Amino acid sequence: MKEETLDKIRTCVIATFHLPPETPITRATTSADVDGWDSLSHAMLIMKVEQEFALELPFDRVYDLANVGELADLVQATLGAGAQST
Amino acid sequence: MPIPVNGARDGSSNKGALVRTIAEAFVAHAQLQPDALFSTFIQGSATTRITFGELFARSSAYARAYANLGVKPGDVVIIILKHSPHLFYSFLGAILAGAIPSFIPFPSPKQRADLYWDDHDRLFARIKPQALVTYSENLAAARAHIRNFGLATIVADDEILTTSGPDVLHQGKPDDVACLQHSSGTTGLKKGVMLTNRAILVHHDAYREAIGFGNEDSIASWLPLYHDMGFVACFLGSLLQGTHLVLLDPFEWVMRPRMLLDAIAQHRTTLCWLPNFAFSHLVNGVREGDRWDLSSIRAFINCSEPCKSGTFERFLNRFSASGVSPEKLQVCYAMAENVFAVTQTPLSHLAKALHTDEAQHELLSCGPPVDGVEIRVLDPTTRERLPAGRIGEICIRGPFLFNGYYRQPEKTAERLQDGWYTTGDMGLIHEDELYISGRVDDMLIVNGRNYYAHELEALLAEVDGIIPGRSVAIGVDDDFSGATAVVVLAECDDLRGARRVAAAAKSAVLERTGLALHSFVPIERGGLVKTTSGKLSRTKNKELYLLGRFKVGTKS
Repeated sequence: MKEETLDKIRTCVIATFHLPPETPITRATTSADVDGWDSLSHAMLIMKVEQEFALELPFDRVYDLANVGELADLVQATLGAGAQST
Repeated sequence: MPIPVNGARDGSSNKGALVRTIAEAFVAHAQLQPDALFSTFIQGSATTRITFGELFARSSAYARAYANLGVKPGDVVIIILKHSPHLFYSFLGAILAGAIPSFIPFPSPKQRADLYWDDHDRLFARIKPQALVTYSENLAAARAHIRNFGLATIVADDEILTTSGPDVLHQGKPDDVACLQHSSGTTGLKKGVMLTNRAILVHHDAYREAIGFGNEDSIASWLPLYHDMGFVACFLGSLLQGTHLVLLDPFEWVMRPRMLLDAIAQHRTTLCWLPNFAFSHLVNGVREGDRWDLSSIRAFINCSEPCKSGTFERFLNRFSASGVSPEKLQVCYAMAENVFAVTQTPLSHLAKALHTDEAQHELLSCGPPVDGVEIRVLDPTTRERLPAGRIGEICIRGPFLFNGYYRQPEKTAERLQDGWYTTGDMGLIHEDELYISGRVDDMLIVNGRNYYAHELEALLAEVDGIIPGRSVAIGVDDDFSGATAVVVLAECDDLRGARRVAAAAKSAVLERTGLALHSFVPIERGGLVKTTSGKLSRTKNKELYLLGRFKVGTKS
């Protein structure tokens, strides 16, 4: 499940920043590793992730993520919270 | 001078008052229309509705708090707050106390607190503020980093609104410095633009003529109040006009751009100022197919960054089905040194575009000068006046030009001579309208904020792996984002470690300035092109970069 989440996020990162498909995106990847990843394009990435997973991430958490791994964890936690509340 | 303020919006009182200061205008609105809505303030899921009466009562509590702390008329009050209605109360409380307030950006989560405060230590040493209003965690950092911390401090929470004591109400005088607008210099070089009550009120009168700003208007904004467009056009504009301001959190808006469109549709606002990148962010950041009723808007005004006709086209294509028509897209040329507006395109007319061989690309008109403002275009080398149609440096003069930079007479003398302010912007006059084509200096405007290439390069010189003095920061147009992307070209000792150096360079700039570099291009020693005088040439190296001549690790 976690690996599947990371895979989908990897696809979102590659699409948002127009990267070659083989670009290595891991849990440790940060914004400094990807050209053009600033606060505006970060918003595009979050929008894409939200569409991909059909959820809305909490605003106060999405801004200050250290790396792709933390984004995957946040998605996982939000999915889990949604499952618990239904 | 004095200028009239409107009567009550609900028509219960048409009797306007003649006012000469911000405090007088504020008091007049609080008395004439205490129950009228000043602001719908949106923070996350919470919405606070603030009437003029409530605004006055809460600002008065701040005025008492300042007085209790010994703040006297003429003292500088620094306000460093995140998105909160306390921005309004602390600022207007300082006005009522006769003090000189100034908004300063808070450290972004990506900035390092110690570097942020080191820079502000230098700023505070120069401007010697009497008081600091901030939030508790920031105050702790300030105390830890500001040397000789002798400031009176206020933590902006609701407890301050219960402050008791004698009422404090300094109406002020027209030529008193009312507030400072701090420029967004990269390091400790922020300049405090001094604005008098007279300049602010006369500007308001001239600009409301230019845009037909009336009682029935209202504003939707996500702009921060430490920026002149958010501060003057939106906050002071609404306050002086006595109209409604819907204000969103800038950080929240960046993540959820549709919030602005929701706010316009819900509150039927009529005016909206945006920097160029924000038009693109709205296009890129909303879901395909979503629509809003934006028909209430009289004008989206593009300002603070080079305005692009391509950006307008994309915005129009995306939102025409939501009620946006071409004549609703307008342009303003503005700067803190002129309070705000220098020129403005006439509303309800299509903004003109011009193609000249000299400019090499299409320029959008910024409109004719606002009433009272004069513009000269000078040859940047000979300082001779150029005829209409020729590109040169823009100089301005007028009835609301600033009084200088606070406690920086030498910086003032560099830019303000014989009543003329040298803007540093390049442009031309065509059929009495102004067109901006670029900058004289190395200033880069990124998402409405100003950075200087030489300051970024000084930070890069400190990064391990970059040869000191061997990097250039260049601004490259990004049509998708509508913004300027900052690219660094840097000579490195060891290209095998380039990935690590790139990450270190991006972090160094981000932590110090809050700017995210778009990309870092490592180049081998001697690969950058120099001018005949031996300096690295930003212009020439940018040309080569755009031609694709700098492949990673190769010589040009």
